[in-house]
Amino acid sequence: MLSLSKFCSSKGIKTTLTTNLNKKSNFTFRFHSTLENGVKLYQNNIKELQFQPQEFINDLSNFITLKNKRVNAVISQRKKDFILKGISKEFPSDTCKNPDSELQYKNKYTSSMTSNENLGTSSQKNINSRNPGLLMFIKDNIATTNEYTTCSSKSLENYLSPYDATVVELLEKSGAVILGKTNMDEFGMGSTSTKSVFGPVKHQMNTSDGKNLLNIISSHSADNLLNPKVISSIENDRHVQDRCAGGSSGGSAVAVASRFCNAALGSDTGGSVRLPAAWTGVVGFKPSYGKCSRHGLIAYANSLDTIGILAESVETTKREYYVTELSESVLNAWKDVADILESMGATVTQASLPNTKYGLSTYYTIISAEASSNMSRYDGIRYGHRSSGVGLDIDGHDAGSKYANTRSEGLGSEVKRRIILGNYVLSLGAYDDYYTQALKMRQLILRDFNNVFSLANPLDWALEELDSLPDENVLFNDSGVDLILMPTSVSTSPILSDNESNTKDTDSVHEYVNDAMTVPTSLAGVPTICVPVGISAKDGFPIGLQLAGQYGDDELVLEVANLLQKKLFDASKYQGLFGSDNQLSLVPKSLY
Amino acid sequence: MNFSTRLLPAKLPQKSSGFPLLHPRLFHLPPNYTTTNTNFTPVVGLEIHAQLKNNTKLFSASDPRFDQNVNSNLSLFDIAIPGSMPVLNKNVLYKAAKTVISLKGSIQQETDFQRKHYFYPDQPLGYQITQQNKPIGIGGHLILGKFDGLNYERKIRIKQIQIEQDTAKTINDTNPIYDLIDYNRSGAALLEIVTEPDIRSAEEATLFLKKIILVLQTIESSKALMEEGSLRCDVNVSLDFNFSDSENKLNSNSLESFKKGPRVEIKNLNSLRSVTNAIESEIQRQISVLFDGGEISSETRSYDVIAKQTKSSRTKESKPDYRFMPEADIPTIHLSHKWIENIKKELPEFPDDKKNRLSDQYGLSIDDINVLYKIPTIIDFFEKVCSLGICPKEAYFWISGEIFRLINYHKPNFTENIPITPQEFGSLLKSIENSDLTSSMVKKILITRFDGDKKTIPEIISINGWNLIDNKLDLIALCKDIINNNPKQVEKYKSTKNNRLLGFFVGKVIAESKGNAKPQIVSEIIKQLLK
Repeated sequence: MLSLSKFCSSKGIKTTLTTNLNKKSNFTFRFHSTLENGVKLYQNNIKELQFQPQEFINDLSNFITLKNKRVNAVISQRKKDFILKGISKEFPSDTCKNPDSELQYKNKYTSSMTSNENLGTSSQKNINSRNPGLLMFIKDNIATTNEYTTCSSKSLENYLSPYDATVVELLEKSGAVILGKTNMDEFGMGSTSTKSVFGPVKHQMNTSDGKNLLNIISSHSADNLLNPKVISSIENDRHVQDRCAGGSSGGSAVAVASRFCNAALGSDTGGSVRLPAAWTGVVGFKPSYGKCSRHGLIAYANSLDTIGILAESVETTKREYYVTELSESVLNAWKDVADILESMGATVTQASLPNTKYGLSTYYTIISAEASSNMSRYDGIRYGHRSSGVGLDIDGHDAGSKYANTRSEGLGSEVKRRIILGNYVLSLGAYDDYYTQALKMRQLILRDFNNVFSLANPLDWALEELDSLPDENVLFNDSGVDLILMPTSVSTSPILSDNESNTKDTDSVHEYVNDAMTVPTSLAGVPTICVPVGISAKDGFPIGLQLAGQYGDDELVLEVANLLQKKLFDASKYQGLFGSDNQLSLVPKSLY
Repeated sequence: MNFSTRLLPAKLPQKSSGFPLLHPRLFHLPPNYTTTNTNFTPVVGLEIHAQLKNNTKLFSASDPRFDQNVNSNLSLFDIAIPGSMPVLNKNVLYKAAKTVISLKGSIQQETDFQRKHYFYPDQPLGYQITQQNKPIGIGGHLILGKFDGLNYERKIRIKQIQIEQDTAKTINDTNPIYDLIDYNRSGAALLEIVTEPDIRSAEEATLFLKKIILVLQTIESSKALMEEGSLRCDVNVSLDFNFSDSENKLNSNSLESFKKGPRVEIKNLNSLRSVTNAIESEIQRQISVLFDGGEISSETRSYDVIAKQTKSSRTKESKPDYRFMPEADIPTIHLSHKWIENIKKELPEFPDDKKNRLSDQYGLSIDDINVLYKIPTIIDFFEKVCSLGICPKEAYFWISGEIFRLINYHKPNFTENIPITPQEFGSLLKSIENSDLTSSMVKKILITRFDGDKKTIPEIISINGWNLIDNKLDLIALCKDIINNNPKQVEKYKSTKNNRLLGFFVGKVIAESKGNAKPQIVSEIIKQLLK
């Protein structure tokens, strides 16, 4: 099922790949106006002396408000005053009055800066030249104190979190500027971003945008006549339809793709970052499970939930990551990218993960069980929606109906479906047949990955009482691979109305299949990145592929993805045609 | 304890003809109920919930003490704020492990937490984080015996010991419209100790509880005070229906020959007395049901303290399915050998071992020891006093008499901390031995100290003028005065040599000296003078 790339020695590849990068890269954009084109590609070392925070934020805010009317990605924008305060803050003097503690703070800050040179979002230089830091949106299931944290659910409609999530705190401390919160599937349950109390998120492109894109390519390229794939697809023009952004972090993905921000935080439980990344054409990274603090991430399925990053490029993702510490076209793309990797010095072999075919059923059993448990705190007693007419004179027996009213009003149908499924698989009669089996299956899938990777899973030996590191033959398996390359989704983004009709149906299994490619690495907890590799010659919509590494090997995943992305931009011959197009600016213009 | 009178249902005529009681602890039915020998044995098991003594809660950093302002000490996790995470308190593991070892159980090196789901306002998460299949401790036992006042030995096995979250407190009698919830207790660390059904009477249950409370207090893992709710108890009561060989079963732990009736659980008992009464009334009730030709059903009951009866609160049919699942936010915990061995080294002496040693080392009787154990902290004081060379009998006499009287008088101020050091107390006792002070002086000094006087002993003595008259000449002068003032008695004494008259003179002299003369010496002087 899967092909994968093997790097015999990661040091070796690094050298081959860097020489390739010395060629002049096409990976630059010429944006002129924030009001028209949104944010620029984040560049750490550019000094912009003319930068006017007030004007910039005004323009950006107007740009977002206008564009968001169509895509519905952003559900709350932070007040301009707050944003400006964040940008112009003289770090850190106004927060510390005591000179001693100020000094300590400064020392702590600078030492943390120097300890990780890649922590590029806010070097001291940037703050002094008053450049904005990384501009970011946050998925609405991550707690922030400045705006509501709703999880796109009625049950938390007016919920104001009393604390900031650890990831948000770290980002702000490092100079990132948070612009607001993004739309999502209710509590993260879904892969389309349509099941939201705020309405569905729409793809930044519609079907005709895709056709236009293919048109531009075919009209400008000399060899267009020789490309029957493109010609046929353009001729099959139909009326304009909206496309699905993917989910559940669809709002974050569209916000990045629409140039509202440089990066956005999402959450990935079974592919919620990677699937929308693939469909909207941005980078989506799911770190190893547990590597980014989940404190402040509102739990959906807590043994799989991971904070993820959606970003304009791997470079930006990497920065983020360090800060937080934290069809046919698809098949063609997969083969082509494998070839590109081989040309870059990698060894590509086939590998099989025999148990991943049970991934989807395993995944849906486990997440519904955990969701049913995690949703049980929304009882309306301490916070959130409470059914009117529900008093709290609860004395044991009739408490049930009062809980029931509150919860059936506050929670959406997909959430209820998963609660009921979860309660069923955890009930005495079904537990052993479903839940226990799913836990076993999960172990087998994890074993599949461990067998394939050359690096041993650190969680396997970290628990032993060891005085020193285990032997090299325990840590490395010579016949294993370093990274696995696989598709993120079976197709490009589907037409939105198709999905809407599905959600009205009681049968949502069709939608669950969207997750088939992404859940195995979620179940195994291993780091996975989705990189946009090009566009489908059929409809002009983006295609993303995933690279997965062993648990804890996040750096290698990011490094190779970064090199791969640069190489893809270099190789895409139609790149020059799309300088100021902000709908698909982040995708290499290669056709598959 | 006479069980035959206490436990038989009231309407059953005692000693009905032809069916004598075979054993005081067994019961039998009238002839029309079953055909043959019909004896019951009560089968009782306990579930004890002890709040662990800690500065912070099981999964959060807030203070779990019970006597604070309502809802004043809460962390995000205590009230299930979305996105908040549990952080396991290491000290809880330490205290739980200590308890497991003290009760002779085995610590599970791999232990984990589970979620137990049910909706109730006192449960903010909608589930309780508890332990199920991999509790921290499995097995163990306590033996009741001579030190507990039983004339036989009863080994009560412990099934498992687990760590779990306490619930919030609902208050439903202060406001007619609303129930109020105090979340201060929410998430405090509890230890649940589950016994096997090895208990055969209410008396044994109470003695077992007393003993386990003493163990928990000795190793300082819990305050274990039922009156403040830091220890609560559920009991399970059923009757054994297998009527053969009842006599043997009473003395055996093997349950193989038992054919237990349906199990009835009585929840939330919060005093030793209610445990005793609930078990006794439940045994009586179950027998009555059988007498009336009814069936005992498996259910949960509660105990009404005023009516002294149990009443049904939940039948088996409505028993919830708790849908246990692993708590993924807390990974499986691996306890190292080294860590467990270290705890073993830190454990204090267990009560039974200590009692044995006290009996051997100081020659105290079991009754004497149990008297001292009424205030367990006093044992240490007693041993320190003895180590200063004071005769143990003398030390026991003074501590169980005067010190206990003063502690009880000032209760509860000094139960933990006596306001006199063992050194000071030892030197007082020595002064009596050396005739430097009289017993009544020492009593007065102790009273002064317990009344809150912080001065040193010599200061107290000198301020109150309680010095013995050392100078013999002064004493002789005093005695001479008394003799001169009582010529009649002198006459009488000289003729009869009556010792009671001697006592009269001594008493007069002591009174005149305001208690500062030692009776033996005065008596000698009078004898000399009247020779």
